[in-house]
Amino acid sequence: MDRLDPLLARTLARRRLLATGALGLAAGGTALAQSGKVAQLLMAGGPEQRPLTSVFPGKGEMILQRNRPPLLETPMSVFDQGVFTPNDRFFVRWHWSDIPLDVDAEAFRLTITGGKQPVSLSLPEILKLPRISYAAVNQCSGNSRGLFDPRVPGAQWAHGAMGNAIWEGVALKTLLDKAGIDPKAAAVRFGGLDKPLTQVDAFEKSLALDHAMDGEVMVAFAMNGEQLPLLNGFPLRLIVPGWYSTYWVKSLNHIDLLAGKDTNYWMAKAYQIPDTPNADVPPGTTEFPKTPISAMNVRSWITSTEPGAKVPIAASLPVRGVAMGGDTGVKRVEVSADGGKSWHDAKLGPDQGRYGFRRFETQVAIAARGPVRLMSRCTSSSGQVQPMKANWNPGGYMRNCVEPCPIEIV
Amino acid sequence: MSRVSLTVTALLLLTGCQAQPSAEQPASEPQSFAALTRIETSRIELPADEETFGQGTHADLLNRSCLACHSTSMVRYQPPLTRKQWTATVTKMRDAYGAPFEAEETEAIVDALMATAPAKK
Repeated sequence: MDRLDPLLARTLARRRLLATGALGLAAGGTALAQSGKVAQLLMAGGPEQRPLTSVFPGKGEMILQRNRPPLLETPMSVFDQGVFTPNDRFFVRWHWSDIPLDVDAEAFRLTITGGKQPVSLSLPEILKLPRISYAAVNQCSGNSRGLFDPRVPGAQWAHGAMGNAIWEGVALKTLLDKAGIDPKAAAVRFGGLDKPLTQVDAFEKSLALDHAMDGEVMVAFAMNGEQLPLLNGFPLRLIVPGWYSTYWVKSLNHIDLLAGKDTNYWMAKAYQIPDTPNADVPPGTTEFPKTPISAMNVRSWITSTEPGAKVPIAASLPVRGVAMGGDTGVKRVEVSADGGKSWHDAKLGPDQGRYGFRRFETQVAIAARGPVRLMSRCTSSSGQVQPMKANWNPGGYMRNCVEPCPIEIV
Repeated sequence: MSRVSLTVTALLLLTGCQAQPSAEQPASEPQSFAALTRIETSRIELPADEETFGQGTHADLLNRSCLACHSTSMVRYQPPLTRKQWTATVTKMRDAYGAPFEAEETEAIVDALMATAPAKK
């Protein structure tokens, strides 16, 4: 029976309980919430409060969504500070409890199997290969899931399960060419150092061979000029620009060329979306044709003002934010200060490449004190426009509607 | 807005990179950082996660069924969920992720979750 290893899991659970004493800590009194600072997230029906924590190694202040395995969300104010997300504020998401915490750079090997010959590469060998580098947004498939209405189960992210970095590494194609591609190869599967505690499929993802060989998909060793933090996938991470983060396998140590379609749980069952435009189905729908999630969609966020902010009256209000085209660039960002009745074009910041964030800024005229409903709306270079109405699916995936930012002029 | 001034061309020169920019390449004019020359061993310790659901019949059941794989916060931050949604979640935890409980315990775990998490009654 390979479904689970109940003995191992029970032993681990018991060991944890013994370690914390018979009483344990009462739920709600987490030892991690040391600062006492709290993030207030706008989620209908709650719970809306999360601790802000700075106790994770290599990380500054983050929204604590889950202690173990860590789910750490980037506060929106970070995105107002620059087009690139600093490594120490970059969001963290792991599936399995057993995550790599100690990786020996000399002993580490990346292996490739299923090609014409097996390949095993050390990190110094990988550093000597031809490099590529580009900016790309890394966004969780379930970013903004907590804003779904009606609400859905899963990690209750606000908008901060995303970040934009310059990634540097080796094109996956360069590595696969070293292995030699068999004519029968159809897909490429990627696995990392994280492991389930139970006897179930490891977290592995795969890409079609053509996609894997496009010259853009990268095995990255650097993020914003530094080696990857352990919590973001040290020492190597797959970068699939334009696609959701679920494919960006962390602590990548194994690549396997497959002759057929990948049937493992994480491709065949998990991260499935409705096969409809924008993964949208009527709320409550559970049965629909499914397909694995893939390319991201167009989005934008106002970062200069928090929803609910009270802003002193002035003739005009500066509005800034970040936008992304999905798997293509940003053509245009419009801003509204009247809840979407009228729009005007914001000024776009420098183009950092089609897969990165693009900053925008503008001034909106303020007529009087009272509530103002700010909004931003991005049009991608392929003509995709953010919809006013939110999509819905039971997985809480691919939200990309225009996000209102209600403030009050006082 | 520019935090570093290297252009992608300079980066390519520095690294001896053989890849040539083309119309297909994603980066048009990215800000960039100095090329990485060395990768050092990395080691961290995560903060302790000692929180349990407390004591009592419900808490005991959740402590031994859920906490091997994840902390209490995964449960506590869920939105108000219906019994049907919790049942689907608990079933997935066992069938797909190998959570350490028997199928017959599913209903008792859902009862415990409905009583503990912000459930929709």
